[in-house]
Amino acid sequence: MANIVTMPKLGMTMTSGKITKWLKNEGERVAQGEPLLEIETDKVTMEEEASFSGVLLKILAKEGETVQVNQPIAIIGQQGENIEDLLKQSNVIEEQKEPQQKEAVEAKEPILEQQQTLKPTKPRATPVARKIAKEHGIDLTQIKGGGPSGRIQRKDVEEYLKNLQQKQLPIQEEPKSQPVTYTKTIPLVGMRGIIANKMKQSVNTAPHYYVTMEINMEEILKLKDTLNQKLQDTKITINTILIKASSIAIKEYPIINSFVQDDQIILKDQINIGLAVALEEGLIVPVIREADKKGLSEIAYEERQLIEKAREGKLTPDEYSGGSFTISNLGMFDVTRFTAIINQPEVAILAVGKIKDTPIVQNGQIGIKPIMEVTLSSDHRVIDGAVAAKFSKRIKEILEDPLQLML
Amino acid sequence: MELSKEKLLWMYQKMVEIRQFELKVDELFKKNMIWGTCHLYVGEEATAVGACAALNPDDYITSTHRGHGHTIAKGADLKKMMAELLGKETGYCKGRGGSMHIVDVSTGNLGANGIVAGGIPIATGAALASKLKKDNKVTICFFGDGAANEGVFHESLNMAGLWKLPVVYICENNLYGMSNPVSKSTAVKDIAQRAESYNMPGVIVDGNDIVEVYKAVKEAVDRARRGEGATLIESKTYRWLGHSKSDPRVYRTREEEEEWKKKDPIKRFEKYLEETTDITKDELEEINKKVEQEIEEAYQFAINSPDPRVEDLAKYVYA
Amino acid sequence: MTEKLYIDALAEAIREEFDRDPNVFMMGEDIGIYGGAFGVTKGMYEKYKDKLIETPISEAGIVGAAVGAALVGMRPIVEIMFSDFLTLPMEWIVNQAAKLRYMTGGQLKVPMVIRTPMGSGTGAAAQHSQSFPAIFAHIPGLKVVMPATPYDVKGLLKAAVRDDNPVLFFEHKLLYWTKGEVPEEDYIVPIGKAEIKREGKDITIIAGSITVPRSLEAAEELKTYGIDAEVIDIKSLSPLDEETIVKSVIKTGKILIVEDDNKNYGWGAEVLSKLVESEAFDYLDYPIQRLAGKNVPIPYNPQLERAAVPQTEDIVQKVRSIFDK
Repeated sequence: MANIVTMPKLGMTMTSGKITKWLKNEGERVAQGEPLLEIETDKVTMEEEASFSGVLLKILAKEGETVQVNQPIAIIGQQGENIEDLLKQSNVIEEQKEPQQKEAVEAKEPILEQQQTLKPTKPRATPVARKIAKEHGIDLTQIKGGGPSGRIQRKDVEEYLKNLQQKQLPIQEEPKSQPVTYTKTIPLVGMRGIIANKMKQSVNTAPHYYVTMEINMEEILKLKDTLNQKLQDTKITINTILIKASSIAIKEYPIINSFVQDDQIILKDQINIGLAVALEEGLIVPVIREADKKGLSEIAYEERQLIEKAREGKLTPDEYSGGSFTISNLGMFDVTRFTAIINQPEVAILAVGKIKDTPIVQNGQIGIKPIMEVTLSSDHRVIDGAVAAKFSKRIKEILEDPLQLML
Repeated sequence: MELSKEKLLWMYQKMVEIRQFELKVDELFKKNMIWGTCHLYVGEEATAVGACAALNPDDYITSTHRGHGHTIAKGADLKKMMAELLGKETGYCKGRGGSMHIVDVSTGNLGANGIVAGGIPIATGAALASKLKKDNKVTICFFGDGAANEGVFHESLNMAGLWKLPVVYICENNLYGMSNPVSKSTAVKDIAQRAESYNMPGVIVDGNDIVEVYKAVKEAVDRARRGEGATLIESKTYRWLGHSKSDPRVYRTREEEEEWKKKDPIKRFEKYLEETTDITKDELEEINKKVEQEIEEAYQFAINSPDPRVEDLAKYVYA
Repeated sequence: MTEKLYIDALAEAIREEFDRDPNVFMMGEDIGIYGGAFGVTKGMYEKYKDKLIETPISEAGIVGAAVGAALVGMRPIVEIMFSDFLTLPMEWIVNQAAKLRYMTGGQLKVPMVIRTPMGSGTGAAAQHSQSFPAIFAHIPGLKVVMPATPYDVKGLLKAAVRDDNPVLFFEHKLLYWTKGEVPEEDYIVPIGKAEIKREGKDITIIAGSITVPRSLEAAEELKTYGIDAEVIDIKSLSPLDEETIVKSVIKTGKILIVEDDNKNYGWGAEVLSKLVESEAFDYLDYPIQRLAGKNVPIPYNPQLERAAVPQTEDIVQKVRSIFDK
């Protein structure tokens, strides 16, 4: 009996996937559990294993096609089996398949989406405005409607698009006499588009403010070295320690672990710490789940795995979504201090600079200490200055008195 | 107005065809093989056949909701009629019309009509066309006593009288419009009286006497063809069965029905043939057998015919 | 091409069809020496005595007889003096003309035209001023047209006479004395085709009959507000030319439907529904708007009468409100 292989749902938010490669040809045998194809979702590529053994009788969705979750992509059965009925059945469903080149799948946060299904809220927009927005992967909530009752009209979307494109152009001034030439234009689609939209949305909706703190890293560096001497495969990094330390601090200041929805602040229970990882084409934030419950070496191990996967583009959606709080460390690029944009729907992000030997006055004495500056960006709708200060201070305390990490 | 033996036998056969066809339909209806309803012509055969006997094959008729008799008398194919009643694609109307809408253009039958008085202005228009085209055709318009009280009866007969149209209006007065007796629906005793208002002759005939019907209609048809205008003929007759298939006939007595059955137009014609011609009982018996077979063939044809296809639902809405 | 009055272009079409086909004739009240209530057949009687059948006042009988004549090969044109009187022969239009072909499995055809003046603006009040072509467009088997210009009235009448189906032909009374270019040669305006009478990019105004010239006038005025309106003359209500309106709406994204009929269940609602069901939906950039007659019988008083149906200034106003200008 032949079976239809459908596009698997590879993460809570996945609605469709693009088939990048078939690892088996039509007519080839495939065993259950054997890799069958590679699927690219909005941010990652994944191998999908065959759920049935048999012969790959028919590939219904070719490489490069984007298919909705649960829609048929292949038929596996016995050699020579009649699959007419299955084909008919799958053709009917196939018509609902998304048109091909649709790369930019709207990035949605898992929790947000859940909320949305419970309480449908949708911007007021005309059909054509929706159509254009969808074609360009634009989230309508980012657009201000110029029509009656704030209705988003075609004009509003088109203007928004125009602005986006203008920002895309090189900024440097060209001599006026020379015609402006561009070597390349990079469309704001895919990961780039998602980053653009998310960052813009964050700045537009969350009133940011910043709290900076200097941390004496002397003790923590010693601890790190000691621990690393004992560990073989895994190395504890400053980030490992920051992940752990912030998870402890969040436990004490649960408001940091929340998001805003429909005039409500909703607190989350899992403490999942994201770590921004720079990639060639952008950046991604893999998430260490329940960091507060994990030991340093466990965190360090996961951290390395996730970074590797991120660089290979192999993170699964569940590995880069659902974070409580993000750490962005630019210390390795010699940055001493910077401010970060909150990774919504989170409400705070920690920007970490490099550890720098700095002369400081301690107990009336001038000494040289390894100092690291961290800057917490907070969403003032949720977090007030004092809370941000206390939360930062708590991180500082943990790092300066590292035994607290062990508690 | 001598009738040839051939014509007399034709007239007899048509009456028998109508009688047997209607009884078969009645049987099929009871077996739940006919969708909708049917208005049967049993008992009134002499009017349709006597009238159509006076027409040329290319003359026109318009008929009524009780139209099987007129349609057969004008020469319709029983197979196509039966197929239409069973809703088949091979029926006259390809199963789109059913009992009340059988049309047979090939015999000049402009059709039965589901609306009371529906045929009256249509026949008038056909006659107007004949006058304009000078094609020398005559139209017979059959309608019932009920239709004579519709407004278009007046409008149409007025125009036909005014313009001297080649049309013969035959009112089949079978005494009841559904359940309503003529005495309760119509101010005049005889509908033929109304002809006077339209400046045309009004004639009353015994509708169960085919020879009398033939003679009266023939005279009117000849008159119309000569360009002398329309005639209103009232043919007094009786329908043996109910108005439609759902009529319990509570408005009339069984005694009255028995009285009229004694005036069976077919029996009367048989007697007439026996008494005035050399046509034998055997010849008539043979016709009865032949018709029986024809009806069976029609039934077999209909039952074995395909239904219209649902894909063709919207066919024939526009020309 | 010469400029002609709508009524003259119509009369010309009738004469030319009389000459072309011996089966074409006309029936109606007072259409002989009097020339018809609005004078459409004025001056025809001498030459076309045999073609003009002057009837008694028997609308049902006339239309019923026309159906009968059509069944046996004639091509009658019936004039109903006021479209309000179409209620009298309703049976012969709806139950007979529209259905005979279908009921008989295609054995019969009913090639006939019912011409009739409609509309208000003449002070004739409620029983002589209605526009209700939409009632007939609801009936399968009928075709319904309402030409707005001299060119179209001539071309559409010829098309209607030559069509093998019953065609309801609505002439707005106020159009009779409007002028337009009409060519000398024989031509047809196809039934079932709408026409873009004025190209524009900002909004599609869908009009029919009297609302066509009013919409065109409004479109000119709207230019001064920087609004570039496209005006479509729907011409035929049945069959309806979906393609032309859908294409236009895809271009402009905004729609105003202007009907002379009163609004409830009017033809604009059908156009609207067709648009929303079509691919044009995705291009809508403003809720579809309808401007139609008020849901009242047409009143006698001239101010009231004028207020009962959309005028040019109402169209301008409505479009301006859409653009907030």
